[in-house]
Amino acid sequence: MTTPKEFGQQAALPGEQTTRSLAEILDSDTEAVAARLREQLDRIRDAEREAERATAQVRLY
Amino acid sequence: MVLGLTDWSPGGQAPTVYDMSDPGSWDILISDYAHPAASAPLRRIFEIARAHGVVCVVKEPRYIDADWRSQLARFYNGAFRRYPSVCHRLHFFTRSVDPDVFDLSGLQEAYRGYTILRPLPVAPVGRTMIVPPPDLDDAVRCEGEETVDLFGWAFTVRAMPFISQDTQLLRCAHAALWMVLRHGSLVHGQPQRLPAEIYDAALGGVVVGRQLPSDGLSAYQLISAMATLGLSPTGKKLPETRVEEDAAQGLRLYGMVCRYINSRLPPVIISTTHAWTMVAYRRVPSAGNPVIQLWRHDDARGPYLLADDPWNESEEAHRPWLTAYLPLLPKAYLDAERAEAVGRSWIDIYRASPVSAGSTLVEADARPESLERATLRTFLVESTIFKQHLGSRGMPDALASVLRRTPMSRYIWVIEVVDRRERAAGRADVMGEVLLDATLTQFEPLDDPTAILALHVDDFAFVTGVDGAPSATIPLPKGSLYASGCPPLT
Repeated sequence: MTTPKEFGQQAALPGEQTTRSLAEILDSDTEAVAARLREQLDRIRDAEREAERATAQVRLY
Repeated sequence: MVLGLTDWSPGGQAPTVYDMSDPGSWDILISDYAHPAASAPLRRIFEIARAHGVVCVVKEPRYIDADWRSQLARFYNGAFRRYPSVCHRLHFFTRSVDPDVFDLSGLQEAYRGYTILRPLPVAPVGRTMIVPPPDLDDAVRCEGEETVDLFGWAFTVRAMPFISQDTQLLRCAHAALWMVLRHGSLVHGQPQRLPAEIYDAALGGVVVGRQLPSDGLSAYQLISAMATLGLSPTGKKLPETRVEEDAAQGLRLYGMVCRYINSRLPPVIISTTHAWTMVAYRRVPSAGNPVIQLWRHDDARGPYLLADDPWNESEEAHRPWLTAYLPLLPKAYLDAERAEAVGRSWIDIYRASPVSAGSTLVEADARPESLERATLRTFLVESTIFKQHLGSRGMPDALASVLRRTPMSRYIWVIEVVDRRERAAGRADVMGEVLLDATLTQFEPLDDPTAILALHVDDFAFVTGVDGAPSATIPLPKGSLYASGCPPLT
């Protein structure tokens, strides 16, 4: 009787395996970038709120 | 004189083949169907047909149209006046068709689509699938493919569906949404929605004025209908001036419209009185932008119309471009603007990394001419489609084979790093890309290692392990560029 492990043949894992995160591998300062991202996400949220306010008087014919 | 009730569908009426080689023939057809003040959409459709060189129109005189039947059942059957229950469907050919319509084989290459005409002279244009005008051959377009049966012969047409409002049950916002949903049924496998369903779905939200006959919709009704009918829309305020546009960064009007057209999610734009659907863009200068030209379907004016300058519209109904309603799919938790912001952040982290030294991105960033530097192209795509196209894009084999085997969400956001100089030359222009799980939420921290599925720029590639599995880096040759995976570009 064969076990499942013996029965199939697993494909080789591609690339070079790592347990390090992308940020660790790139080894660059993410703080300034993260601050810019937060600012951008805030602007997007503001645009959505503005859309709600701007459309209060709309009548679409 | 428009056709009356008894002229519309006399018993036993045979198909009609019209020779349209005389330009005056088009006006005769228009006068059969539309009151002069309500003929703009039909005129535009015929204008496109003529631009294609259409010389023959075949009329199906007793076409049963599901959309018209839906309107009839929901509204028009309640009127004292009788309305025919059948429509006429006109098919456009660039070659003449034998009037006996016995053998239509070999005419696919001459087929340019169809328009369904309702027995409503104030709003005759029903569902229409007409091939985009030749002006849009090089455009990035939202469109789907439909197979049409004409007297037992199958024809296919690729187009963005169009319908005009009927002024009583369907108004502009209903029609704009119908176009989005019909496109979604052809492209994304969404259910086909009929006018009465759209009308009923738009009764939620804040109702303004009479609804039957409709005195118009509020924006809240529009967004409520979108949500009820299976979309997960987001609304974003648009820049009011070119100065605001220049300062808007990731929220520029042109950028936003292009991202959703790239994603095959046609945006609905509203002014204070009207709604229309954006369907295509071209990479040529326009009055509103130095490098992009926008095109729309406007239910009251017709399909495939140039929107040359959003801040200087000639018609009152189009002023101002107030808000974009972006018809996201429910499985795309993240919207295009947030996806691009996250992707841009990771590209910036790569730029600041020692890993990027000597890369094609750094070389492109150093070019003196800003329009030759790298830029981003963002789109949503099914991960299966993305994987299936990898082989034909010229991507390095080592990377393609890893990405094929990487578990991915049903939809992914792709943020491509594009070499503008190669794009302008018409060559493969992608020097890297960030792949995001579309079910990522905006609240994920940027430094979460699971925040992206993969990042690749030039010779560096990283693919995140899923469910705690190890990640992988893939060494690649320097300098390889490959074609875009954006569906409307492939």
